[in-house]
Amino acid sequence: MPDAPTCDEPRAARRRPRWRTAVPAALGLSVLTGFGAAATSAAWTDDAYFSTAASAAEIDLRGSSDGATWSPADTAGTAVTLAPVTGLTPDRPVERTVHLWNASTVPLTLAWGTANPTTLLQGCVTVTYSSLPTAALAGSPSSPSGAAVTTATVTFTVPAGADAATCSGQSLGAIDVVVQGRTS
Amino acid sequence: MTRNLTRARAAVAMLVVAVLVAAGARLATDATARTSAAWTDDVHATTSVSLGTWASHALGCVVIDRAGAETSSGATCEIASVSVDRIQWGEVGHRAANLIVALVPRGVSPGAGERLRVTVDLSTLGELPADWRWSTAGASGEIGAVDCSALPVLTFQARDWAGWGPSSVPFQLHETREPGDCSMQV
Repeated sequence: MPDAPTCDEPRAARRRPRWRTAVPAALGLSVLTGFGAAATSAAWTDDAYFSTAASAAEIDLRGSSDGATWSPADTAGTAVTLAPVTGLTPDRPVERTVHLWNASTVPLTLAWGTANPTTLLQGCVTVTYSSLPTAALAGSPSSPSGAAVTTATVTFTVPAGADAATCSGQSLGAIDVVVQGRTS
Repeated sequence: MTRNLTRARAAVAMLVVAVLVAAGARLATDATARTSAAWTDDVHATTSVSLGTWASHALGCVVIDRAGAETSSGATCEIASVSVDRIQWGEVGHRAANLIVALVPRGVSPGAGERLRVTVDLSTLGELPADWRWSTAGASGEIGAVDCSALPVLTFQARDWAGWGPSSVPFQLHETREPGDCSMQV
């Protein structure tokens, strides 16, 4: 028969630390609470079934140089070809317009590509971009109807102080600009 | 001593739990952000750019509109001649000359605000003394918007009457700038 503790033993040796008691107690309470919640939930739920047709959204922004002939123009290699800018001089900015059609099944918000050039030919030409609609462009997969179509304009300018010796007569081909359509 | 150790262990345990909770919340936030990524489609457009030719002080005659830009109406003009009518001799730096620029406008509409902008290089005039002091020179006369900044290349705008037909535009060139010279008024 083991000896009963005596009054002579130190008090700390006889007591368990409080956290050793508290942590298992908390864990146990959590488990019980979880079971309880699950059980309660099971008791008060019921199932209802429904069915619907599901279809994936189609994203398709198309471009055109004249608003009549459209193409996906998804890459630089298949880009919409705009009329060349020729004879650009300091006092005559030149604009080029690209027509845009949201042929998607969902609205698209438009933005200019972040990599679009803002200067060309070592600063002899500055490129500026028109504001695009802040509201999302409605989608119209079947035809380029009014609400699904807009335009975007690129303006090429020779700055007034452009050095004639450096800039006059220069040229550059295959300038690629991008308009991006994004779902909300 | 033992009680202090126990409290320290409890504090460490609480800290570990807090870190795990924060990490879980961050993971959940990131997962939500990735789920909300949008779909995009690009349209590319391409063109080419070639610059015209011009000189910083292009010599010649240009038809401009009310805004001062080269007109798109198709009107043209050309300089038929630049000549020295008379020289007022004196000490170097105090001489003057009367000059005449003959202009030939075509299709210009002064009534619609079209004007002639003329740029001439006066250093090519053989009648002027070779030691003409251009650094202090100025010009005035039947001309406006007189730009003396690049003398001996002088740019000015002819009066409206010069656009109606072939005309001779007189002006005075002073070796030392006088009041009224190089006025940018039109």
